[in-house]
Amino acid sequence: MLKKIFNDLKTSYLGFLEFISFSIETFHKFATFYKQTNVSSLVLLRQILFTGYEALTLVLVLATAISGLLLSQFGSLLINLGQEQLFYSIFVKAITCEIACVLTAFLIVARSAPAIATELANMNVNQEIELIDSIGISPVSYLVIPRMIGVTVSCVVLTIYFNIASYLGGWLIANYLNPLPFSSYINSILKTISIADFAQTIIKSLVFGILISLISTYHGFQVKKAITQVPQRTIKAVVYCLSSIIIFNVIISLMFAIL
Amino acid sequence: MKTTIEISNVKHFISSTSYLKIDRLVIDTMQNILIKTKVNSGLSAFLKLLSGVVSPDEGEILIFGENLNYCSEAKYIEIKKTISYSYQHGVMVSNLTILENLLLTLNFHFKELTYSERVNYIYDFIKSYDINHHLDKRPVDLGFMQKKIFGIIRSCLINPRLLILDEPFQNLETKYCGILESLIERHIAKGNHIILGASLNQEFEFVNQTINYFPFVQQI
Repeated sequence: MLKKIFNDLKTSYLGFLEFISFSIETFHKFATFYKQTNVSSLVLLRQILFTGYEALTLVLVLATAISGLLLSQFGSLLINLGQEQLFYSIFVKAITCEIACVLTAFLIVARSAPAIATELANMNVNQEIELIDSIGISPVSYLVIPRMIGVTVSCVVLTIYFNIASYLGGWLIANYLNPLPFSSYINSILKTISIADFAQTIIKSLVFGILISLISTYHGFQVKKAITQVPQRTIKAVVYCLSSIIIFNVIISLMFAIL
Repeated sequence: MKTTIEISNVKHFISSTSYLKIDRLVIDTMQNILIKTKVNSGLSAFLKLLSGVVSPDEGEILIFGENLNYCSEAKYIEIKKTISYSYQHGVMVSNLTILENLLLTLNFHFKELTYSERVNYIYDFIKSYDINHHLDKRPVDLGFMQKKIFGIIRSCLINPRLLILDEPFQNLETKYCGILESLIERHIAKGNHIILGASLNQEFEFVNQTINYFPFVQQI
């Protein structure tokens, strides 16, 4: 039993070291990515299209629904407690600093992480990655970096879009429940939101985008020859993405709270 | 640049139980070589080692005097442009069309050409084979033989000094055998060379009798 625990820990530790080494290689190749843009730009565009553009409607629906829920639940609660002056502060903190970046990242994990991990894993099994390497093209430059840029850019843009959709959707719902002039609502939001809140949401979405892309591509690359490894690695990619988002969200939030 | 491939003390695992072991082998690539092996003796692994597609688990391979694991990026790309390996099963990148697959190699190695020049080059290259209509398809929509032929065309497109073909005639119909013979002729006519591996007797005999470019036969 102890031996099994020790072996599991050892495997996890070695896997973590391998992931770190993979990440370092990716960042190292990132510096020379421009040399391969003639072959990688198509991959980058497709990634932005899939991860960013195709998720716009989903983010709009999710953002409106979440802001509606917050308004209906917390709005009435704060009014009952006589603390309605706190409403905008709580609303902005909740949406901009936490919900927008975390939910957008979760959405990207649900859509893109399994897609990336499965695609790369199947490419590995079918020797396609070996083929790309045989041409002379670096698989990391061709397959990982465009995905990393695509997922990260999409994550940042979708998070900003989530914020905007939440505030506009929030006004629509608030106005329906209790008529409220748009200018007064937007002014209150703009007064409450600070540069630190905005910086926090951007930094979190950047970090989440990089984490999602690195973890999912790493697990895709880990599949060697057996097709049975594909679903195993896909599940691992999703689980590790979700866990790391939660951990890094706590770390960044604490950092901003301390600073 | 040297013209040899030197293998020293190489041990390379094909599966968990079987491996290739070569103590010393020097291949002069300025000639056409037909390699005959037994079935399931690791021919593909051997050819991949020769072309630098895979690295050996142990030992050293010097391709044109360079160890690909330690040479500069510029040298690595130069060697990859000089030597081209064609897969036995015609591997293609599945999320690209056939045209995009062919363009991938040209985009990387012929950056000085414009997009339209690259496309025209591909159409010119294959115009006599009546296979243009496949270019917009994805690999999944093609049969085994068509994929294999396009895989070989992709290898030939960059006009490599050394083309390594892994059992190219295996399971090919007459039409595709004709295309392949023509590709081999064109390649050699440009002053380039070929290493062709065959493990089935009938393929070996076919190549030996039909194509006259292999005066040197290496039995491994």
